[in-house]
Amino acid sequence: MSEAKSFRKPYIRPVSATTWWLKNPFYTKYMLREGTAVMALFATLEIVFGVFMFALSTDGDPQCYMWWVRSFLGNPVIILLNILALGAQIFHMITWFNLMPKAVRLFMNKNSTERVPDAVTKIGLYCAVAGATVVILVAAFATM
Amino acid sequence: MEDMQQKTMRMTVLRYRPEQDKEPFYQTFNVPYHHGTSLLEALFHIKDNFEPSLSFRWSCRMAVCGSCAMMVNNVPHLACKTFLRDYEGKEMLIEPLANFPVERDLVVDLSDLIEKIERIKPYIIPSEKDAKMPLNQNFKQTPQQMEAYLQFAQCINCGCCYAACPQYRINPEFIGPAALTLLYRYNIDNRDSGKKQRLPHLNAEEGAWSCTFVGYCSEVCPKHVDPSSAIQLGKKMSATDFVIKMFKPE
Repeated sequence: MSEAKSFRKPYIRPVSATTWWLKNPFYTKYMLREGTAVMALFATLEIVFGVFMFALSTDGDPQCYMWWVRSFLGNPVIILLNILALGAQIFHMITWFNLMPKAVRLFMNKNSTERVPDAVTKIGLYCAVAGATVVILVAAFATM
Repeated sequence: MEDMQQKTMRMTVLRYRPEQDKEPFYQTFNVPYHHGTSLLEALFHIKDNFEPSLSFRWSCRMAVCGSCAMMVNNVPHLACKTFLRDYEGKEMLIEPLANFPVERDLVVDLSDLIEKIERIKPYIIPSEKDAKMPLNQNFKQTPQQMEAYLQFAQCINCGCCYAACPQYRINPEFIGPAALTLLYRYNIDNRDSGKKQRLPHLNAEEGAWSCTFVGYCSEVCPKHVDPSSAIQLGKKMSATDFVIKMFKPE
């Protein structure tokens, strides 16, 4: 039996659960990307509110819906918040699409060891966004 | 000749001597260096000339063994692969690898990392048929089948990715980047038949789904393994497995 005495006393460094993301610019950028969810929530609630006002309106009396369009959406504060929400979504889109090639691992063909370039994934995603935007804008203006 | 010029770096090193210190403290040294001085060599200089009791781990000196991972100005690095010239005009803060208990000075206790890597069975588990294969025969693998996992097989278990991961910091149950990368690496190897044994670890609460894709593990990995890529691909594998099990329960 060994007579040696153990001096082991592993030290666990304190961890802050709330401020860790301020310590490294990489973490801060990640939290900014995740934080865009707050603006996405605002935009979603705004649309839900609009649907609700639309449901309250009748054929003869679209007062509620028109109030939502003119007074609510027309409010300068809401316009500013919507611009911010758009900016946040664009930031989220760019940073998220930059990460997406990591989730794609395809080879050029079944014998090749050459992988489909990251740019192809990114261009594909931007094309999907452009296509969706065109469809939404056409649908919105066609009903006017 | 400019490269050979000797300069001085102000280095602050975290010290912790468990037999006498209640908590760690910092000690600052002025270390001479030239163009080719690595952080590991600078630590040897401190040990040989200023502070013989300074403890740190090292072995190969060439980014193969993964022993000398530590924090340099709060970023995980291998000491042997970090050069003082890249910090010229700045100071260096050297601390033990983050998110692990400090054993002594720059030495951390990596038991949790080792247990997690062992848990996912990081070796080829042959099928029953292959296990009986005579020794004069061998597995066949196309270049593409090899390319599919090769990058993820470069892991040296240094622990840099665990030090970089905020999920692991907040939730130590998380199985972590290196273990998940090796799990994926063996699951996609065509010589392997152990996928069924590893999937429960991938699908678990502390498996791939505890990753929120911060991506810093891939940024700091000294071997360019890109763990965050393997984890996202692992999520796809886990989701596919979930859908298959919905239609074909075991």
